[in-house]
Amino acid sequence: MNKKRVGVVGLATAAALAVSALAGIPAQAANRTIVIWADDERGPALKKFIEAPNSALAGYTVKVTTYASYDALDSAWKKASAASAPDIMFHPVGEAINAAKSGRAMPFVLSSDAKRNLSSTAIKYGQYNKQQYGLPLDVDTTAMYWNTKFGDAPKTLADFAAAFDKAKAAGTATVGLCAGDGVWGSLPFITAVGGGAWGYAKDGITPDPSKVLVNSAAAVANIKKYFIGANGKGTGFFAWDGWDGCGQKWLDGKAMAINTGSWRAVATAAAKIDYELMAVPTIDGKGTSRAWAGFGGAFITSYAKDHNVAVGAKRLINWLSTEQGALKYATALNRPPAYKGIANQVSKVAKGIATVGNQVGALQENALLGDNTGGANWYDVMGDAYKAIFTNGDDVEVTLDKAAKILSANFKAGFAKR
Amino acid sequence: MTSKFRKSLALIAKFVLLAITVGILGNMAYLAYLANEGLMGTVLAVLAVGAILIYSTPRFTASKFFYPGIIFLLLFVITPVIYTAVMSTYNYKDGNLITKDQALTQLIDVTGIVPDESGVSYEYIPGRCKGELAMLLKNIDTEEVSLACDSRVTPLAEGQYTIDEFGVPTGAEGFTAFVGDEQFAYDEEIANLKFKIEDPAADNRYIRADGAGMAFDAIQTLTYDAEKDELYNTVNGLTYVNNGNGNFVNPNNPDEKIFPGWRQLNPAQNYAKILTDPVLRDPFIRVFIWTIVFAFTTVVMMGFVGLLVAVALDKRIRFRNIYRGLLILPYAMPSFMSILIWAGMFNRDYGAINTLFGTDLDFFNNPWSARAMLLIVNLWLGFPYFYMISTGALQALPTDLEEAAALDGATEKQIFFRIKMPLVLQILSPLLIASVAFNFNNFNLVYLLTKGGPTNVLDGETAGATDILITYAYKTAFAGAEQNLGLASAISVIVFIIVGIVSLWSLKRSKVLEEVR
Repeated sequence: MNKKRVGVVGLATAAALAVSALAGIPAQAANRTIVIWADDERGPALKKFIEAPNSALAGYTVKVTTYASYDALDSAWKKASAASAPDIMFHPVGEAINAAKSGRAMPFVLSSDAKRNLSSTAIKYGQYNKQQYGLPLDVDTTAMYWNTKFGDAPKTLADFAAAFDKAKAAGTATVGLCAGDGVWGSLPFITAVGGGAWGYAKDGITPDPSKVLVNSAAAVANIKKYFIGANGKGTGFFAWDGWDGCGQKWLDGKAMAINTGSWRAVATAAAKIDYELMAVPTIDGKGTSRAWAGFGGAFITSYAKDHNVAVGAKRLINWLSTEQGALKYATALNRPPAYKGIANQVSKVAKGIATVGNQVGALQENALLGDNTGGANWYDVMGDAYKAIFTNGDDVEVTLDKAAKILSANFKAGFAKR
Repeated sequence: MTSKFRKSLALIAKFVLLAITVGILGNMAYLAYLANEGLMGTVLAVLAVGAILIYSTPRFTASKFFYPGIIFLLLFVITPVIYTAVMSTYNYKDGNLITKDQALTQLIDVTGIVPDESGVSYEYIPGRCKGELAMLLKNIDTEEVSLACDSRVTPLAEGQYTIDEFGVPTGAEGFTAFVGDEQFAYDEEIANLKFKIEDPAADNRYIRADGAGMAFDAIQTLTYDAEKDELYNTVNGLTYVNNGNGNFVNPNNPDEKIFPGWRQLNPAQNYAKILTDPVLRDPFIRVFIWTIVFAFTTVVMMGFVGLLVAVALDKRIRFRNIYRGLLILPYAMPSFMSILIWAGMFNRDYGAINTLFGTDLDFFNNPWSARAMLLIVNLWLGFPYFYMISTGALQALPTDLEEAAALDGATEKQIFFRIKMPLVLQILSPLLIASVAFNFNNFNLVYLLTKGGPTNVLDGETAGATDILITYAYKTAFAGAEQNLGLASAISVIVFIIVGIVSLWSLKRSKVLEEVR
């Protein structure tokens, strides 16, 4: 190799190494940037305040990455490696437990504000092996928005069904009750007709996996009586195809009610729909329906250590867990806050949902709902059951018995892993 | 432009391109090592060095042309295949994602140190004492101040420490608080800082830093015996043994596992599971059969329609060029858009097909209509390609064969089926085979159109009627509540082997790989 060529090679190598070294330093380590991942609702809400200078985070900068949907966020998180992963995830708090079991989350100590403001249920929701992995910040639950153009809100589900039949005949409504968040948000309907997911132990809180309620005699009888038409298929009263399905009919004023959370209040207001917030009434107006209540919030990923921002991430969580931080989050997000002390400082809708949630909230046990030992999880089983009964016209009792068989296996296995 | 100038310009361009390429490869290698992806890092580093060696000397002329292809082949084909094959031999799933060393570190240093029942907590400032990391602590309840230094916690009397106007301790004798950015250099250490509490009644008590200025009294609940490879719980006295499958378990109740576990090498486990576990085996066989039927049927349909249109437009007809232009449109349009449009057209409630024919067909809810839908949409997407290839092949056929046959009295039909068709098929064979291999893994079509459904969940089905092996593998890995990457990798390896065998067999049968003599 002649001198000239050696020079070129040397120069090329040096330049390459320089480019490599410059571009190779991970941004998070170089700038002490705490990277947050959030979905399309929490991301924009966080951006409103969390990237601003904060004395509690001196020396760190915060960057929020927003994903187009919850599913996109969840998928990205599942595939994330140390090189790409965030330092803090905003997610349903239950996911913090899964992450902890996989060694992907870091524990932290709850601030005194958090201990004072959070219920024991909320604190426990974010714990695994006696350590706090998830910080509950908002309550993920639903209420029924009744479109007041259809008159006074019904006192019973039976009245509601009758009102729907009339409205449908008159061509003013095509859907009675829309589960605006798909199968997840359909629990109020199935409990209102006398069914449900699982029973409870004597304490009224601990699930009893041996009691599967979905195929209760009352549920079977009431569905047949009120919601099956002459053709053996659904009357159209109940729709479970979520926001992109019956949710659009709600915005068009063609659905009499939608069961969803505060996250649909803005779109509903934009559609100029006047509504009343309430719980889905039961068939006879006695007792209450139930709606899943989980907690949304944040957890620190174990990758924060790889990015050398573990301390900063803990400080950020610590700040968010103060009343000041929690209030900023709750105000920006417009969901019922998990913090008792700020419950009255949020929007009217968030307060309304919280009021209903206090009456009907049933703790969302992800270990039981997500288990698929029986073949498929709660969401898939119930989605298929609704389709079989209301779309295909399959026998209600046979269908719900099949569902119960699968769910029984799921609940037992899920409870054991809980 | 003089020759010398051109040479200099070429040399500079070469240098810039080489620097950029090596820079990118080097950067990627560095990031791969940072992410503990040693294999990928090594491959990238070797490729970077290879690029310098090959393009900096006048030798290796042939390699200069092959090397870019080799880079992409290694990065995007061979390395992922190796990774997938290796992953398939591990019990690699949620709860068992990290290495055993990482799991042990997590179990001992994180999961295994829990706040004790007393709930005692502290505010602290980090700093240095006797050259080591230390904490100046203030008990939140009693406001007593102590210094955690040199593996011990020493209570400090008033006067032995200084406080600020908020009552927060700021310094003590022998302790130097971190100033400014100093603490950032010890991020990980501060996040995991712990000091033993001298307690004659228990030797498992610590003060543990939370990292964010808080600390708490903690108990070391798990200890590890490396010799026996066992975990001991200091609170309930239970011993947890290695179950050989990535978890420490209670020997009296093997279902009681300690998390996190680790990814354990178990080469045959995932493959055996596919073959023996009825929950996996039965859907796997069904999906396997449908994958083969789909791949072959769809290619035959595309090839047939493409050829048919090519023959029709081979004749001189009016507006032939317009037809040809229009026929390329389905191919020119991004396939994901076409698929989503088709999905909308087949929608039961608002789809164009039901609206047009006044029907109420639920295409997505019936296994046979869903399968037919897949074939129709894939035909739409794929026939223009075969039409173009067939047109080219027809135009390339030597006309003297046709003329000779006509002189010998062959009919037009005979000329087409006995002369043109065999020649065209010979040209199309490798493309048909490649297309079968492609459709074996046509993930986009299935996932965007039917998501593999319909799935009769209530009758215990875990795979959908239109799932093909690759969507089934994806669902196994990512779509369920639990990710099972090892199992999904095993399915992918099986798909790879099947596609490889089918392709090789077909290529051999079609003799397209034989050298022209």
